[in-house]
Amino acid sequence: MSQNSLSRRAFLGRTGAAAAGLAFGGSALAACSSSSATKTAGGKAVLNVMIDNVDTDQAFAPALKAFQAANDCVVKVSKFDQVKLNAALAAGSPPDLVRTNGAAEMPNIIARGLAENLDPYFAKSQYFKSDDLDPIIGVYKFDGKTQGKGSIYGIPSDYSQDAMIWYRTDMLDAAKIPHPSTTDPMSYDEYLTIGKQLTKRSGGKTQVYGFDPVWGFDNQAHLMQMIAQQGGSLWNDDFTKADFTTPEARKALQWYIDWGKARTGPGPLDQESNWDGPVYDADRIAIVSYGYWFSQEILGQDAGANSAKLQQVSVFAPAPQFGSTRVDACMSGSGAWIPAKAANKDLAFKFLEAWRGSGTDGAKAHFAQGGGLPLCLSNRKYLPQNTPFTSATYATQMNNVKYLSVLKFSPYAAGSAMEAALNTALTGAVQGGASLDATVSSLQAAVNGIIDSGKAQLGA
Amino acid sequence: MSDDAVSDNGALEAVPPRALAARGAAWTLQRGPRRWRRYSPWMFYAFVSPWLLGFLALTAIPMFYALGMSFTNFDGLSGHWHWVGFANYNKAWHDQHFWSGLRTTAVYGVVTVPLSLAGGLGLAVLVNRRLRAVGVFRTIFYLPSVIPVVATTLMFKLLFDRNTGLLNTVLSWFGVGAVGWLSDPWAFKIMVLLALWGLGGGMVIFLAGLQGIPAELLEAATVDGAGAWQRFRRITLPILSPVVFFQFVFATIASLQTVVQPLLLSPAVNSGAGGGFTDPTHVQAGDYLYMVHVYAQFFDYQQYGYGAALLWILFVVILVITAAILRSSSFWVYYEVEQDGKAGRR
Repeated sequence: MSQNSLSRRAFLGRTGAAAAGLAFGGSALAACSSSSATKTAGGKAVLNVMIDNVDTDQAFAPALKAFQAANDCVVKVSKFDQVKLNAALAAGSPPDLVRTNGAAEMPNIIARGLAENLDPYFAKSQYFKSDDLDPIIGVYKFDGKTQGKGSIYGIPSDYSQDAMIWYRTDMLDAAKIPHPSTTDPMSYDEYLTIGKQLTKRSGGKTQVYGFDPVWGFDNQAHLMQMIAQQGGSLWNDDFTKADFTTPEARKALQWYIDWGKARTGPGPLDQESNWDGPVYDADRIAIVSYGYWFSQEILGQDAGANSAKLQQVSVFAPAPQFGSTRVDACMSGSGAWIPAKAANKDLAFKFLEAWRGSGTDGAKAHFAQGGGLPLCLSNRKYLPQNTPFTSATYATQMNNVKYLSVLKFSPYAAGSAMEAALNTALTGAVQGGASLDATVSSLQAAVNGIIDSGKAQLGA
Repeated sequence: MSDDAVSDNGALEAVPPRALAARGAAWTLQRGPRRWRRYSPWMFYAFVSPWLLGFLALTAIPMFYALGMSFTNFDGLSGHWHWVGFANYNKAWHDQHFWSGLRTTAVYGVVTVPLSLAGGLGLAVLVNRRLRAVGVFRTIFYLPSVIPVVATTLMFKLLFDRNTGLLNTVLSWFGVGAVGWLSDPWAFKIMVLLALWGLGGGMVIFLAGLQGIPAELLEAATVDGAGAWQRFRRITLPILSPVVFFQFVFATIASLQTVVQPLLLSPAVNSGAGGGFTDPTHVQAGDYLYMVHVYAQFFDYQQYGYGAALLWILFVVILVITAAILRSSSFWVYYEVEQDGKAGRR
């Protein structure tokens, strides 16, 4: 009988053993599940691409098919998912290509040792020649300390000078406001003044927003640009300290608080259920601070029946300035990087070449839609110029691109953490009426915490 | 094959079915050493293994993995992490958003749990009557709770949008100015309304309980002169108390873990090309529940260690509250059958 008995102690002991076994097995299982298969059953190589819409992009579809045939491989596309990416990186089996927002993220990603150095690939590439690369490649360069210098760790899909202005001539005409120049920038204060005039409210509802500097879209980058335009810098030389107490930073923060309280755009006091694109399409924004890529929204299906009218009344202009130094940076430059532990690095780089390389079918199809400026200067000729709207937009952009600069972000602070700290502090100031001093103080403490944490993780 | 019984010394022994049946209702399980002898222990493990594996893989191991993580500064991405001892727990103690999130969550629970219980019970009493087309009413009341919470929340967002929402449009017909329903100070009230939108789920459980109440008890009370309120108070509620207890525990835990609703009720964030997304730092202060703060630590600040510490603190809080509710149940929950040898109120 005794051999059939099951005491509580035995039950707990065996359950514990099962738990330990499962913990080990579970870890292995997790690694397997998050890992990316490198071969199909038929022996073809599998390229795992974590970039949204590569597989559903109709313009890119023929190039994708040709790439798979030429390289005897299967491209497996998944939507970008930070949690899945974390699990895959932790398991040591990441995708072969990963999407990134670019500017604010890359130094941190590179400093953590996650991205592959692409210098050897660029040296051999027929599609990315060094003399054909736009200075925007600086977003993806890092020398261990400073963004914009050193080796290359990724490429932008396309880019824009994201603080540039789109304004509606019909709305400005109705308010008898002169049109901003398409070559010479106006100031932030001037746009705020015009924005107040253009904002229309009725019965407590905001029918038209006068001026939106696009709250929540890379606020850190916008703030850094406003400080740089005054000749200052948010970061110290080794990027280990952000200083919000300087006159330049305080002035920029105060402008954002004034803008938020003026309610001339969707912000902390005015919520919108959608992003600015559909709001602009619905004739509810007079001036919005978006880059060249927004021409695709005006031309695209999202604008629907309003697209033709929007093309007639939408004009592209330089980014607003906050000081005497003209800075018109790329805030994002979203693109892709190859993880250091990716299984198919060679094939991944070939994909990048087919995707956005000089003269490739994939690049031609993409840039013909006007979704952003190309990394390869030779691809600029594919940008749309066949209508009055697209040719005027192109002319403004080409004149403005000479003022492009690459902002330098700290490698010790994740972009999302900086955005969170800025949003929290500025929302508190706009909604709760916190003073500028209190806002600066809370922001300084939050960012110091982020930097300290980042430094500790990197052993700096 | 024979059935088992417990002998005086506590050991199981074979008893013929007829003999067992003869013992009838008088037969009771006696306490003794916890041993079972009929089947092989491995048979036991085989039967419980599906649950056991699920529990270990999906609950126990992740929990203790998170406990270990809470003592590190792991960022979720890279291998650069270190043990930091109790620093994350100490940080929570000094984190003002931790306390404000906990406070808001407590208020949310105190408001929504009683209202959802009372509302669910009220609806159940209503649809427990013999009415024409009562099935239609039951379906209508239950329908909101089968719609996914994401869809319901987005519907609320469209209804209560300041500039394009239906409610403000209707109010404008009466000359009432637009109200920022999704902003503070209204945001919390809308979130509570959203929680109450799913009353139908509770209603169905209460309805099942109500229909299990013997009609003869209510009839006898009526014959004795009891009014409707007395019947409800003295018969229905006590018999229904185990159901109330079940709903109370689950609603309390659910309210403490709420995260999707405040995230989705927050304004869209301009992500540039492609559209908006939700972000915890755009959640209104009134909707900034504890779990929103946890979510922000993981996915905004990439502080997985601190986020895990916050989750363990919440786990302990839930454990304490649940234990308190369980303890209190002996004063107000009534069972019609014996519980551990004790009849009636537990």
